[in-house]
Amino acid sequence: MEDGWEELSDWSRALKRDPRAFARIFDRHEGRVFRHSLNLGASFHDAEDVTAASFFELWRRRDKVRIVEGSTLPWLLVTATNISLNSRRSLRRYRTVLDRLPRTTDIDENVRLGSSIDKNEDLYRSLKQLNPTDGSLLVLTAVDGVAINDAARLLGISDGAARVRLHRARKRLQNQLDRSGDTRPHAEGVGR
Amino acid sequence: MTDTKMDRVFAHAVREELIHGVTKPSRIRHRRRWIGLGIVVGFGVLAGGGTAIAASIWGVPGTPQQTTLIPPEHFTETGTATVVLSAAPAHTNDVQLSLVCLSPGSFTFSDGASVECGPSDIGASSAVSTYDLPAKPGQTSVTITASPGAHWSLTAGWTIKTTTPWGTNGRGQTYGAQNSNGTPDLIAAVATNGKTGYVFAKQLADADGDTAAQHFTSPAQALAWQKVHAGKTTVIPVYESDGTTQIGVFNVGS
Repeated sequence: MEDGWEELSDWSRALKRDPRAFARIFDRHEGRVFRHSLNLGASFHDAEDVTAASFFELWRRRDKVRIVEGSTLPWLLVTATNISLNSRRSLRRYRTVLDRLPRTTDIDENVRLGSSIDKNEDLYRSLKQLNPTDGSLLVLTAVDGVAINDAARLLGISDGAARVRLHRARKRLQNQLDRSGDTRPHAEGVGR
Repeated sequence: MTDTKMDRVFAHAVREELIHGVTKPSRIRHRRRWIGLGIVVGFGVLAGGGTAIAASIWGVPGTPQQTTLIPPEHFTETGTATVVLSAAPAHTNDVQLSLVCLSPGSFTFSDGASVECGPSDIGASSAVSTYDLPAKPGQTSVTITASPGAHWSLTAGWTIKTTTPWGTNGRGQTYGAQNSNGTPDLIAAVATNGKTGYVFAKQLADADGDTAAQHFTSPAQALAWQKVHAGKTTVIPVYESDGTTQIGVFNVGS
């Protein structure tokens, strides 16, 4: 979010239907949104779909996008979280176009998986048990490093409510992860 | 992890799809707002998308043009239904649709674009929604997903859709609508007197802050610029395509 002003300028241009400005926003954030989706436990292919759908949503819902610290990234991350945790329904809107888009066919899926992160399946399952707002709040602050007050603003809740929700969500998630026997570092980071 | 990236072929395709989305006509749910803006405000810059009505009347260079190949077909259905069209002629790349809500409900096209009709829309011009979708290879039908019991009619026809090139005037300046290729020197606009013409892209950028924004290094500078220009209207000339014959003015920032 360090280039906030440049992005604000691009966002303003994109809203006036400047395609290059919108493409720059995609270039700026596609990697982060993709890695965020992988962090949530999606497969390589699913994370690609979630990333694409997040940017399609950014355009479709452009009248309602909240800009935080001069960036669309937090909104994109929340959207990717919501799509990831509720992927079947959310991706249905874009299934036709996603299936139509070309992909590299000579890369084996196992190679893709091997080159990406370890699978956070327990974390993913546990996140799905949380209220969507709590899940987004937790992922934004613990995984993406967004400040609590920024995350609160993005989710439309007060700072105080965000702190209470975050505390409860961490405890709930940690309990669920403990029950599932997950002791990996990412789980410790989330559960602190 | 830091180097993990999407398949670049897929990422490039998504990028292209987004660019296409930014430049294609507004989804139906926005169409009424665009039309309303034109009526109330009385002027506007014409982009390649969202101005198909103006473009078809006026023929602005750089806008999508559609050629109808065979007479459109008419269907009347209830609820979700798939209508089968006549075989698509060669070179067809688009299907033009006009949906009329015959009863209140929600109606969704195959790409997810949707329109909601309330009781007040039925029988009014707002019940009519025109839309177009890229034709898929081998496509023979169109599906409308509608609320159970919702009654609708559809007019559908195969077309060839192309984007016309920008014009170039005697001074070598390009003129036309903004589109996925970028911005011409003279951007199509409707003047406050209702006449259609062109404004210089540079003058428009100077007036709406785009030029200044290139040099801002902080939000504080942007806010200062906004404060200085708050409530002010900048009037810029509207010319014929020659870029010299003024036919009206265009207000920016009112």
